[in-house]
Amino acid sequence: MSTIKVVNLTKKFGDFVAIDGMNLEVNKGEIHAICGENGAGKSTLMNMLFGLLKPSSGQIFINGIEMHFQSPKEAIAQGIGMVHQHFKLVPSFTVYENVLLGEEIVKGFKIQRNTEYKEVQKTIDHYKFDLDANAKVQDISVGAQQRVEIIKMLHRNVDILILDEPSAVLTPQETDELLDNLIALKKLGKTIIIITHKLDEVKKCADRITVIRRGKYIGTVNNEGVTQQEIARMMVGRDVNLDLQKVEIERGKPILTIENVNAYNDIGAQILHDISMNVHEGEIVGIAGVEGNGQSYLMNALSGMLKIHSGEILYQNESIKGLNPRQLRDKGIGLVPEDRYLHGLNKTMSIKENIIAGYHWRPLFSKLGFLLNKEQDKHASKLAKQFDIRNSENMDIEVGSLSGGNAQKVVIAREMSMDPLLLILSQPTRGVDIGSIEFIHQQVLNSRKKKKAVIVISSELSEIMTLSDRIYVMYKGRIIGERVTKETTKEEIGVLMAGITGEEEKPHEEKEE
Amino acid sequence: MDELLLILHSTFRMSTPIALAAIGGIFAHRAGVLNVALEGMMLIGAFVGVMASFLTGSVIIAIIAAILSAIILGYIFSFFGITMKGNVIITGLAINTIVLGLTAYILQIFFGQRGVFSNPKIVGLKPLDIPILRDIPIIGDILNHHTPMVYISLISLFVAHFTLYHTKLGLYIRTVGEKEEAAHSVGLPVNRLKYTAVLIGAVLCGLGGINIALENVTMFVENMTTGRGFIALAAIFSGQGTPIGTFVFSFLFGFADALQIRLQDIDIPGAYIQMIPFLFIVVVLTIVGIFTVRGKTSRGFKNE
Repeated sequence: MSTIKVVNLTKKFGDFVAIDGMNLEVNKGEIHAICGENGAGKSTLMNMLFGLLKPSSGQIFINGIEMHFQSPKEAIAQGIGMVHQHFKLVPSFTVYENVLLGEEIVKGFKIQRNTEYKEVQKTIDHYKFDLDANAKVQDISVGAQQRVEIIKMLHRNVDILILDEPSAVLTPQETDELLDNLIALKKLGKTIIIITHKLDEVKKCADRITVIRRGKYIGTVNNEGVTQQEIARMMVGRDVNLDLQKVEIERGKPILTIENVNAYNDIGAQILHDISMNVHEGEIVGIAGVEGNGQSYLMNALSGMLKIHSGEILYQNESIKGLNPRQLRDKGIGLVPEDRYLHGLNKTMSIKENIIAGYHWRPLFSKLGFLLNKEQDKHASKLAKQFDIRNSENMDIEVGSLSGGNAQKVVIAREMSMDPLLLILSQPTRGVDIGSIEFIHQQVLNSRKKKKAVIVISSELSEIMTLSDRIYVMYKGRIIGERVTKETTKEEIGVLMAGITGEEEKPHEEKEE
Repeated sequence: MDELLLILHSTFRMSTPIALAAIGGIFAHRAGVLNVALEGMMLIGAFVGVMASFLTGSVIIAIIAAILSAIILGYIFSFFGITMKGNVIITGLAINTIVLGLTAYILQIFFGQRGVFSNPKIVGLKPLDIPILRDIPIIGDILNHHTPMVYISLISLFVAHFTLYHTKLGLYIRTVGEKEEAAHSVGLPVNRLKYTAVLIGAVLCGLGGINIALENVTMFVENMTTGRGFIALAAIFSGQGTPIGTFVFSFLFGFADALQIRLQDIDIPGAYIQMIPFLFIVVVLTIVGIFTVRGKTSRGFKNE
């Protein structure tokens, strides 16, 4: 018998039909993957199962009984737990405080911290998770935070665990650990639903896969006997090119040279150690590394967000150390920051405004301090077409209402439209759907074709391998290796990412020059 | 020496209304609600306290009435700011303005007074002589002979600390303020927690307000809180929302106030002396700001 059965479920937001006549059956004790592009309605569907949203019509059966959840609390009481993509943890609280939130153990008025800690640690140990119940959530890695979320649900004795894009924020290693944990939980009899668009993960862990597209049920397949290519086609509705072809290009003179850069954080700890690297015309340089090994700081240092203590950054033989992002953009450097909603976009401003933000004072868009509305409109609709920004017939809608992939395209379009000589991209396809990833990668390769220099910082190793000509690997704030992509393998880079160099690093520089 | 003891003694006196409002305000602050209506809540407490004391002759009734009036304001503030999701700053400022106008209006219409209302029938708060403190040198000089409110403010410091860090209520209030989604996801009553936080503040503001009016002067003067609600807000922010830190800063601001009063005997135009507490706050906030900015290596917002 299926443990979850969804019949003809529909959810409308005003006129917009997010989920249209959905059917879904999840068997007990299986890992069921829900695949679909961003904006396909995966999260909406799960939020209805978890009681966060109320269906417009249709039925939900849990273990054969029809349910009408009013709140997540009721869903949890019925044994359904959800781990959200954006964690719902309180950073300054400890792990055990977060796990027990709402179910504190008290004596009189006083919370019994010691008992709480022991209880939670017991659950953690029972499931063999790698976690310290006493640690503060703000001090532990993103992967560990996710384990806190899972434990939070397991501690409430849920049988069905829904994970919304669980790997979106994880490093490759953390993702593997997560998948192992999920398989272990399955063996303990838990039913797991995983929402994702990362097909290699689906292949690794799922028993069955349900694909949805634009709110409609497309089909359910067994993992065995289906290829990634076939799933991708079901998701996108057309053939997707997962392997991009790179043309050979003669690389030109160096554009950016970084020499022995050191930087410290606010509390005085060194975060960048002696970073030296360079990028040439017509070259894509990848910065690989497990997340949290200084790539974000490097991005911040390069984009003028982090003060550099010593060392030099030369752009076309001119120091750009200490310049702010606006000055850098003036010099022809395009910046695509790591977190698009923190540094890349203003969520509550329109597409039209965001697509020129940072360049809006240029004569192209403003005159005597007044914005030229017509020019803006023209520019925005041109880019929307060129960069395939969808669901955006109206350029005046808020960027925050776009899907992750389309929002990222706004940032990429903005930076590329100014034809930068050097383009620095940090996590360019994080949380972006397959169709858009393909498109963004194609655009990056086009820049290279136009003899531009590109730096790609990414924790997706496959992305680095696909795009870059040369790879630097970061580990604990240092560059611990440099490889030419054609002469290396995914495995070799993976080993470097773990901090294992084997022998003394041989400089590759002379060989390439 | 005696001079110093006197100043410290009056520091406690002057810092009490600030500390009460600030410690109460911590709860709303930690619940993520910026309560700028502290000022208005204190002023209504002062006004209603004086009125009730004048009409009934009972300090207890005056205190209860002051608290109730502040709670009503707390409900109004919460209704517009939390339930209706209005802008809390505008809501708070509106409340402050209404209270300022309303108190002056009532004074004039019903009592025919302009600006000041004083009457021998108003019963004030009497200083307590505490036997244990009486005999301790220095500490006795500083801590004895205060109105009950001074001791209540000290007790409230400990109660606030315990509530915030050792009870469910405090934990939930901090959850709501730091990560509202976390509270939603486990089904905590977010709005009710915010209301509670604001109302705790209202109660203490009521006490703070009545202390201003009935402690030394036993009268009501138009706008007699003179920005103490905002000073309390400054204390909360400087003390980073912790009860102890907030109390320390309330005490510092109270000290500036006490100093100002002592210096009034000196032959400097009064207006300059009266500026001392406010200049002091600007200086303190600047120093706090310098210390937070110093050592920053990142531009703009940090990735969190």
